[in-house]
Amino acid sequence: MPIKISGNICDKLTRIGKFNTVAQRVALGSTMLLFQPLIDLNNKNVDEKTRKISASRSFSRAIVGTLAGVGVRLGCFALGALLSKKGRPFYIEALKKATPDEYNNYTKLIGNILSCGALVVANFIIDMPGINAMSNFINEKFWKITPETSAKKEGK
Amino acid sequence: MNALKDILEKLFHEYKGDTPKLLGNFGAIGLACASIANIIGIRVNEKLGEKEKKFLIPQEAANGAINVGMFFVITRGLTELTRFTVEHLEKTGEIEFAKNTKGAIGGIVMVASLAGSIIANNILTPIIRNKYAAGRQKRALGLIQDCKISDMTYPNSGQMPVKTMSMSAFLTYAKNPGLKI
Repeated sequence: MPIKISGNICDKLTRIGKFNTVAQRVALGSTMLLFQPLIDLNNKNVDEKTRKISASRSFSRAIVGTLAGVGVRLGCFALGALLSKKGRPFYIEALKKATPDEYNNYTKLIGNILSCGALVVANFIIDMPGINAMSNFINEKFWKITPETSAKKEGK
Repeated sequence: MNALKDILEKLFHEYKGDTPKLLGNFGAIGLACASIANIIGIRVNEKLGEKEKKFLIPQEAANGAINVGMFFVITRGLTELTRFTVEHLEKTGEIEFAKNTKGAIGGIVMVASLAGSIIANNILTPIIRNKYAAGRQKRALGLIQDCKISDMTYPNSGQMPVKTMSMSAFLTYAKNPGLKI
């Protein structure tokens, strides 16, 4: 007795199959927000202060990382689509015979290549300071953890 | 310019029908870069104490390494296993798609890929990285305590300031089986 998948479900699955990295990043970011801070808060191998600081970093990374990741990817996909048009730098001969799906996948590919480079830069200029600022804010305002001076100052 | 076009032509033929495979490869690169940026972020964050940094830095390093490893083992494994199983069941007639078989299989594979990513990166990785980083923190803090000579405890003689340590006291201390170098 074969398992029969209805036309309606097939349509939905086809739509899911076309998820791009933006949708993937949102799915990963939202589940990261749900699970990682809880896992950090339940890490009994470290003291309470470390647990809280670690959880606030995971929380901030989920928010800042997802927002920056989605923003950069959306921008790069738009740029990829623009640069893949006829007469533009990323237009190739194979696109003349490409189906709409293949053309679409190609523009995504260009968008992904651009976003890969842009995300490396964004990690340093958006994520790094953003996560630090947000986690420091949570530590001070929510957990009421007094900011410590740097190691150099502590040691001297 | 021609070299770029040649590369793009090759990439077009490689990935024209396989978005999940494409997404995965870029995802792994992104995870590694994010980890490096986060380690630097922790290092330069002056509001974090040394004790917490000794946990957070190995945690972040482990996060990057385990995430990439998990991606290739669990996410990629689950994706390929799902693709193989569904395609096999479809060929043998044990599963029937009412329409657009290729697209529907692509959807099932995408669900498997996302589920694999969530389980690997958001559940298993944090549990493993936390255990590893806690161990590293304990080791680092233990070593620091061992290195604080002024805090050394001598057998039978309590504490002794290092400046007045005699050779015999040093030898007594050095022979202490608890000494770690």
